[in-house]
This record gives sequence, structure tokens and C-alpha cells, in this order.
Amino acid sequence: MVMKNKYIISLFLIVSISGCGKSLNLQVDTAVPTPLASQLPLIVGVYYNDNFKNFIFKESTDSREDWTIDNRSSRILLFNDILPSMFKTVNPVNNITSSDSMIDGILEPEVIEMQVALPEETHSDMFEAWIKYGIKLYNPSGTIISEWQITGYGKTHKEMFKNKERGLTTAINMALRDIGAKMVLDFPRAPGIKNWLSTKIDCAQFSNIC
Amino acid sequence: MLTRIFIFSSILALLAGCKSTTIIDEYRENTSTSLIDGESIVVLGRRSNANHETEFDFIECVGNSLDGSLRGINIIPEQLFVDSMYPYFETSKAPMDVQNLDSLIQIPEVAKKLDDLKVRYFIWIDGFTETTDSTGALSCTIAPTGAACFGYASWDDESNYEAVIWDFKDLNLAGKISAESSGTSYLPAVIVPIPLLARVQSSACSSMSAQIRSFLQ
Repeated sequence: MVMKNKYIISLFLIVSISGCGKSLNLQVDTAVPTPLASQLPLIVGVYYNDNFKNFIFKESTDSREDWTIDNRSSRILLFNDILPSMFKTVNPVNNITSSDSMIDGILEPEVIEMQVALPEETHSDMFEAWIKYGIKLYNPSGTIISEWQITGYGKTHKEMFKNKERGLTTAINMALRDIGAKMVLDFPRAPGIKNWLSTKIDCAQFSNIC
Repeated sequence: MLTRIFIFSSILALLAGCKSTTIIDEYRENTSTSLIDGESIVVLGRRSNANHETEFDFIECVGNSLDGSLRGINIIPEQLFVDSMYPYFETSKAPMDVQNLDSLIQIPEVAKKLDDLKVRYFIWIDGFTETTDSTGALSCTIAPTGAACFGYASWDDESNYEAVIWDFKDLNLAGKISAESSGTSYLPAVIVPIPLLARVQSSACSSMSAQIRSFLQ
């Protein structure tokens, strides 16, 4: 019994010490709910470029030694879940051009920036995450129709026993949910989109969109 | 001598402290409130303020308190509602005013979902609980032979919450309820710490839930 108690105390000390380390290796897997959206009768291609497929947040400074945050799978999953609720058909494509005459447009997302902050860095009670994506819409010949940016923000309160891994994971999950929300709701307000939609769909049927 | 101080401070703390006081205020619009069996209420937290966020467990506490006391009325859990309405009730996109609901229900998918859920009242809660002051010192030692703590600490907690009630049937503001709660907690320790906690947030939750219940009935 005494040995068991000593073992528990040692384990507690090891866990406590390791929790205070400066390095971070985080794998974030986010799932967003299926959006409630008016599906547009359009066929859209989506091109995930190398930046979007491979971006990993890396930082190595005095206060953030060897920080790595990998949310590659969530990023593609997010768009694979969101886009089919916005458009009738979504096909992955390998380029920003397509010879398929049925395709109305091609979307290309990319990661512009990602930032995270710990409560002790901002002197607040919050873990925070900001993720900025750029979205481009091309016609099938590769001419750009619209280009806009979406910034997702997530925060979560620091609580007793919430370590930086749990705090940042929650903040990043919320930031990705925010990006999904803005992708769905802000799409019709992106520059040039209304004009493009008016050439593709009957706007009288989708008065809340175009 | 130390034992006497410990016993004295513990008794003093038990007698004088650990209580929380709550002040409830209510504002009612000139409309009657009523609920019909089968209708639903959703309790949601406001989290758009940069400096604080309404705690998820406080919203859950109010929801659970109402769930057990409003017979025949369905209380929709916050996360379930926000997920099923995604993305319209995300922090950055949620309606800030009851008038915004009018434009929201022009979207067929949103109107259908709210109809399926039979939502009658939205209760938006904004606020938080914080520690405003703390005194004393407590030190603990862990050694292979065991662990021990010695000292004394106390802290003051304050809760401030406001619930804004929207009537979805009439698309108007039904009323507002605010709860302010405060209390002091004590932690004397001679070898073993004895927490004497003022349940400030819990007190704000139960008082606000009781007031919402009487407001809606």
C-alpha cells in the first residue's frame, strides 16, 4: 500500500513537471456539424493545393520551444463537409482549370495565417486561436472570379487542470467552426459573387442568397 | 498553540463565512408569458465579449434546473441546439437582438428546424463568476513519506449574470432577469486542508433558474 502511494505521488510529480514544458506537439481533429444551408443548383470543383494540404503550424522561440500544431485532416474534412451543403455537386479537382463543361466554378482555399495565444502571454483568462484562410473562385478556364479572406476565431476560458494542449485544441476547434460558419454565410457577400450567381441561377428562387 | 489557532479560525470561518448572498432583479415587458405542453425552451450563453465568456457549466446548470421543474416543457441542451442550427447560432453569427430572428426565419431551412424543435423561448445568458480578492498563504509539501499542507487562505467570489428572454412566437423581448451573487470561501490547513467553500455560482444558478421558472409560468 505504501509502495502504491509512493508510485502515485511520483507519477503525479512527473505529470506535473511535464505539463509545465515549453514544447508542444498537437494533433487537432475537428468535426463540424452539417450546416443548415440553401443548396445552390451548381456544380463546383474544389482544388486543395499543396499549401492547404500540407500546412502545419510551427514555431520555435525562447518561450515556445518546438511548437507544432497539425490540423491538416480537419482542414480538408471541414471543406468536404461544408461545401456539399452549399452546392448541389462538389467534385475534387487537381487543378484550377477543368475541361468539364458542366462545372460552374472551381474553389481553391489556402491557409494564409494561423496564430495561437496562451493566457499567460496575453494576460487574460483565455486560450485563443486565429486562423485566416484565403478563398479563390475561378471559372473552369482558370480566370479568377472572386477572392476573399475568412478569419476564424476561437477562445476558451482557462480552468483549473486545463493544460495548454486541451486549451488550444478547444480554441482551434472553435476557430475552425467559425471559419465554416463564415464560409457558408458570407459566401454570397464576397466580392463578385452576386454577379456570378445571377448568371448561374434563378435569383428569385434564392432571394436570401442573391 | 497552532492547533488552537486552527480550530478557532475554522470555527470562525464556519460561523461567519461560506455563505453566499444573491440579489435577483426582474424586468418584464407588457406581455403575458405562457407555455403550452410540448413547447421548447433553449438556454444559450453569450460569448461574444472579448474579456469574458459565459461558462458552459452555468448554462447547463440553468438548463438542468428548468428541465426538472417545468413539466411538459422540453429544455433543449445548448450544444445540441447550436449544432443542429449550425452555423446560425455560432458566436460570431448568433442574433444579437430579437428583431434579428425575423430575418433568420426567412431562411426556409432555419424556419423548418425551429419549427421541428418547437422553440417558444430563447433565454440568452451573459455574465461570469470571478474571484475578486484573496488573502492568506498556504503551502503544501509532497515527500515519499506523505504529503502535508499548512496555512490559511480565503477568497471572495462574485457572480453577475443577466438572462434576456425572447418570445419566439411573438418575436419580442419578454423580459430580463439579473442575478448578482457573492461569497467568501475559506481554506484552513493543518496537515489536511479543509475547504469551506461558498457556492457562489451555484447559488446564482439556482436563484436565476427559480426566477425564470416563475417568470414563464
